Amino acid sequence: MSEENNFPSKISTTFKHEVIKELLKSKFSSTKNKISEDAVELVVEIAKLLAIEAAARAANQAKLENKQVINLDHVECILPQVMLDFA
Amino acid sequence: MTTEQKVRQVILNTTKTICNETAENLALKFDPDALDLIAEMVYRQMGIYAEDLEAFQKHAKRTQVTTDDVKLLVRRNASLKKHINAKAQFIMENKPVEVSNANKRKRKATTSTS
Repeated sequence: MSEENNFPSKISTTFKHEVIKELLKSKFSSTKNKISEDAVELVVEIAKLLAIEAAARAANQAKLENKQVINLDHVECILPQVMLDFA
Repeated sequence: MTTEQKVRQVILNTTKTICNETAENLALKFDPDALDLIAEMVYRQMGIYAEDLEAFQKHAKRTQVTTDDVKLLVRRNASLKKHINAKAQFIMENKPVEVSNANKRKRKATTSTS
């Protein structure tokens, strides 16, 4: 997590605002519920960080085993902790 | 394809792009299976967030999800909380021009009457 502070700014890809908004709305039980634009923006940021964090930890795991390719085992290894950290 | 399937597909693809970009930065490569797993995890997690946000909003007796609900969502992870708070502040500072004008007018009005 130490590299978290400077790393995300290097990644230019982000989730589309409209897509996240659509997803959140589709999961709401009542269709009346609304979501503010600022809140969507923050959820987009969390989603991006979640993806980067998972990828970075899996990469770290692969590096520990001196592998060049990150495979399923590496991801499975770090998945529980990532999910707890972002619960 | 229904809208929900489209949304799911877009989120999976975006996650994979982000992961690939991250791996590129670290001079590594991703296995397709590994990418699928991370993408699915992000999608499911977003679903859980949606349910939580709705519950928070309901508990606060509002009908709109606000930034406060999102802040509550990340309260457990200290570094994430810090990052989100900073981002929220950044959004707030770059936005409400009208509100600050209204406040100024109000203040002027109150000072003139007193």
